[in-house]
Amino acid sequence: MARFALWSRRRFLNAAAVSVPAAVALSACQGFSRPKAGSDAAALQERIAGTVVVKGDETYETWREAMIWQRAKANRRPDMIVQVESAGDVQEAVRFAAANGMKVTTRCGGHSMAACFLRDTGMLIDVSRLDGIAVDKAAKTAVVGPGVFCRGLAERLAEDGLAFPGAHCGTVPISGFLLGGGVGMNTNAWSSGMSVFAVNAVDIVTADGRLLRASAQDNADLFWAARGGGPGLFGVVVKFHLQCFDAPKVIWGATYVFAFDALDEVTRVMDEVVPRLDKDVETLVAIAAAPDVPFGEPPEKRQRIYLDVNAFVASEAEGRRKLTPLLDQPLIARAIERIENRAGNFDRYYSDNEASFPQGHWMGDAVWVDDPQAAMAVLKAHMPECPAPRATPVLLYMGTNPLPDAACSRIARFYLAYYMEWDEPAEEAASRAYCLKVFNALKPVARGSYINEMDQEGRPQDIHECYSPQAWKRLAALRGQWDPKGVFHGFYGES
Amino acid sequence: MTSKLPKAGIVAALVLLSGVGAQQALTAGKPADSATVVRELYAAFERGDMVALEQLIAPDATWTYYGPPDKLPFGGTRHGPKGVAEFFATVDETLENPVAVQRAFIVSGDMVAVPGTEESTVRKTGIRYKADLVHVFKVRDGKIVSFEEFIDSGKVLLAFQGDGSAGIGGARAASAPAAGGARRPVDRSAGKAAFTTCLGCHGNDGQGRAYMHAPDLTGLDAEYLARQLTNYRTGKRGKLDDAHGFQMVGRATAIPGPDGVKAVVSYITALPKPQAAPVANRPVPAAIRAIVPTCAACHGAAGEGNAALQAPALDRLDADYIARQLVNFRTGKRGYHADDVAGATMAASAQTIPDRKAIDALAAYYGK
Repeated sequence: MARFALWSRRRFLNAAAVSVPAAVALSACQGFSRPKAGSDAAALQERIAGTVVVKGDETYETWREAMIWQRAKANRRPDMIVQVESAGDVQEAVRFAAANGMKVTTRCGGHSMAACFLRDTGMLIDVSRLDGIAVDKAAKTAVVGPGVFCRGLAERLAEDGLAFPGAHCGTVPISGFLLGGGVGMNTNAWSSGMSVFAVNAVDIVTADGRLLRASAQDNADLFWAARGGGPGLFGVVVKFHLQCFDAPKVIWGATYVFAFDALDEVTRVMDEVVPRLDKDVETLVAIAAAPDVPFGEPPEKRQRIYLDVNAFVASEAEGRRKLTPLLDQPLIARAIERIENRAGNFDRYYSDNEASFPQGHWMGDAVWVDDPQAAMAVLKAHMPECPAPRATPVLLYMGTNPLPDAACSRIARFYLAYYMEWDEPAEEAASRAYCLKVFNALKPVARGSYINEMDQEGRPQDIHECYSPQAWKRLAALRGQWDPKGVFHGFYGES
Repeated sequence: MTSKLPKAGIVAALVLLSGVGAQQALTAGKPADSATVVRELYAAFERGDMVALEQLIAPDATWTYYGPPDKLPFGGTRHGPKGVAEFFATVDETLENPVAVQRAFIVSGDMVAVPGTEESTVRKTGIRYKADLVHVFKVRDGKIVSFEEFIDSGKVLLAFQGDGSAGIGGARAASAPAAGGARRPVDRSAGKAAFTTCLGCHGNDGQGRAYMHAPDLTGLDAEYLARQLTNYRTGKRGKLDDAHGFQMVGRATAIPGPDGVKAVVSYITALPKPQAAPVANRPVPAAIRAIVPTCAACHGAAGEGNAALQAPALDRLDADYIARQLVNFRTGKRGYHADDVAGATMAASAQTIPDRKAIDALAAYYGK
């Protein structure tokens, strides 16, 4: 049974009934075409193995929409989309952009909630075809292409008894996830709270088209920026050098479902009990709608609370022991449904999570909070007015690790995200407005945001709060140094 | 060694020059001499006979291609017949129209050195390279215990990285396009655009990725691919408890409309098709001797598929995937919908397979 199966099944039934509007008449667009001879696009196309598509091409709109993973397609149109086949292609594309005054953004899986890689001008470089995983078992390291999915990386590493703190959703590629810091699995134990601190080096194409290694030893300031600079990074990473860890023998876990009236107590346990668990126990809470209660019913009737706990451990016995302080709580007896003694692994985790976050119409926002009870009180006050058919808050305990010095400089005890999902395009505007209202109300308890999942479209003025003031300043200074001519777009709203 | 031998004539001449028929020597009772074994190996490549080839490899053999394994997929050392088979599968996936030439067979005791050249087109970049090489074999008791390929792998690597300076002019493969320099034609089709959502799991060339539990799509017929995508889009495949199938529901639904499905299917069916599993050369294991004729009735005598009967090719799929689907068919996770007629037929047929052992045997027999 999937983690949030009740909710997911309902969604699945909806999806099956939804008709999919055709974006364009595709049948007329098949076959090969080329940029017009002598055009700028043709000049780049001549030099790369990848694909160059420009505004005005008959297949442009299909390409543009294909860049966004989810089904809500942001209404922004770059001048040129370049799907590269190699690091060499990236170098050519960046040089071309620099020579032609085009500003560059990068996408890989297109999972950015805000589709921040889509701008109305410039070049979008798609690195999703840059794949490959090379594992050095003895050194416990791996060299991985940006296009590799977190689930695939976990499977491949498991063959060598290794693991990496990948994203919780398996079809997210490692690249954007890591560059924005990475709220990943078991990061409290493995990587100082954020996945990017398990990155040893990156190979990056800089604004002048050079391919450089950046690590603590080489181009250390560039490495500083790559670890957290996210969509504001002034370069294209074409390879990640990862530090891996001994794979857990089992992901020992449990899931408890509570009625909505248990929310205060669940949040209190998250705040007061969960931080006492060992670092390799990961605990999250999600609130999702029950399948058999119609939309429009109040939260106390419709919403269920899912408490999910997983220990990344060497044995079942160790898992049982580590979960005990939580499972001893009187709260647990109030569960209306439960999955206990789950001997899981990454494969199962990813299958379950795929069901919880399917490919639909999405937006969301997220903040760091130290006081989850205060934050949840704000959410609770707003939930009755939520216009999105499905809206899921997720609260995850992050730990209290000091962060190493890098652009990734903001974290708090808890991560609080709120995801809106809808079925019809007409439902989008109200969902966005509601989400923005909730997160404006959360500001007094927020300690900044997570760049990868914050609502960059709705709150562009708050993007700087994803970084410490010093890191934000240094990132800007490094941009001036590494990209003096502004070949790369800045953060969303900056350029 | 990265290719089948090109010209039967060269092999025949070499075999004749050696003064003894390779096949005859191998079946004569006592182990063949080193050169004969090596020549037979080349001859097996030429015939595309992986079964004969694997029989020439010692169980503890090492098979080394000197080159960075993280950059050249066939680089590094592999072990035993299985490793060698995997080596050639990788070569086949990444290179096309290989032409290999052996200049001499130099024998010293149990060692055989074969200087020559190899010429291939890298599928990913379209660049055709020609590299000098020496193959060094070590033979024991009629089997190859060690193989080393000393090749100009720097040149090969450049070709893989899309560096046109490694390419050769004027010697392009017959099937390569005439226009566009040393590359595949530029494909900006809606199908390639839509395939962007597929490639993270199914591979850049649709070759499948084991680590994503995603099958090889190449060589599957268009009707089958379109039918499955439509099944995923309409609730006829990809139940929540189909652990590796469910994720296809979102992906298939994200393809823009029926025309998008058509476009992505035509893109997939035009992708290079690596070799199918040599099912015809495989002995039928006793455990499934009674079942195979039932499979063959729809899927063809060698699992090649029959689009008219809505039966996909099995010899294009990897064994793990076949086994997983057989389990899905038997447990109501596939072929459960009344409108999925072909799936329902298969679900009924799958019920007649006696046990898990037979499922694994069927998967190994038909799969890659």
